[in-house]
Amino acid sequence: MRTLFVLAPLALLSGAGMGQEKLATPAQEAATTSEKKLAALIERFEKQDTEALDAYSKASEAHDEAEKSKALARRPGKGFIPEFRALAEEAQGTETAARAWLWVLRLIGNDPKESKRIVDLLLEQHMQSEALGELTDRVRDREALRAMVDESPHERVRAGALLALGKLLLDSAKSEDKAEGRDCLEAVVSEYGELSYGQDSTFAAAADRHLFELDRLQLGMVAPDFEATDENGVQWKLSDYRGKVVVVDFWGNW
Amino acid sequence: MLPHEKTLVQRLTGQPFALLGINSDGDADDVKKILAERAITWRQAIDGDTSGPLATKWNVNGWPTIYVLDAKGVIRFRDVRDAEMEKAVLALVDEAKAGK
Repeated sequence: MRTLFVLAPLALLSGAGMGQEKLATPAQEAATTSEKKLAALIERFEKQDTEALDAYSKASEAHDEAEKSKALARRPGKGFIPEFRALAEEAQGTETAARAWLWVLRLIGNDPKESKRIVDLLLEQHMQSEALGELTDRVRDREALRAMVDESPHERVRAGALLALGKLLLDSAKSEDKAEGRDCLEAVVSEYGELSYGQDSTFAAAADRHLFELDRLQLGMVAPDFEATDENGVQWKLSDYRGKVVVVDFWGNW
Repeated sequence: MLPHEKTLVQRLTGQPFALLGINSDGDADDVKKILAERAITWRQAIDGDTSGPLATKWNVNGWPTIYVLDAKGVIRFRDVRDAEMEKAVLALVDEAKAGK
């Protein structure tokens, strides 16, 4: 009995594999075409951007302000929206559509109403997409984030949604929300801590920053000590200033 | 921000007060130039860029971010600006001098 159970799915799997090798179904073919179109569109976008940025660096070196602004104006942007949108609509329901919508969202800028429409569409039609990982930082709706945590098959999407949900809950004034926010962040550390986050970080580090602020940097707490090097290369510590009122000012000249 | 900070630093010379900048504009040479241009006299921590070690550790995501600590090192105010920051600091300096 047991042998049969094991064999049956294997037979199905190998059958499916052979089918794919022989002939793609029309739906698969359409998907591949859209995928290629999307890749070509992204390539064109990136080429134009690289050229504009190259022109900008050259103009910078020559201290040519007029050329600098001309180069910046050549950077691709909203002009690409119709093409990404058309592709998203053409490939409706596919992974390519999800990725194309994310491009529209990225290029759309400050248009809360349209952004919300696209986010809703992605959550409704593309919960299975791995590309939703790029969305988690934009979603400010707790229920949508909870849905991603519960339903996405991709750990990166679940991790990102849980981190975003934790941050969102910590911003709330209610203590029960804050407590739940802490639970979310601690779950990010324990369940997804080792996953990479951004260029050179991990989900554990990303969540720990918020937990550190929550546990060590609240009003009424003794500020955690740190060591620093000043503009003359001299080391100092925050605790060197004990006995004085101290303003710690994180700033930049921009 | 800057005018109020300068006022505080001048007004509180010799008093139990320190303004410490955690700067994200680059290396020490970059920062020295900016300090000279803007006549900033108080001590800095050279944190590199906006993902420098101190900004990361203290979870800073917006600049400026301000913490005001009393003489015992306790965080008493966060993100007070300008006149409000001046008022907060002056009250804490009075408190420190009263030995509370």
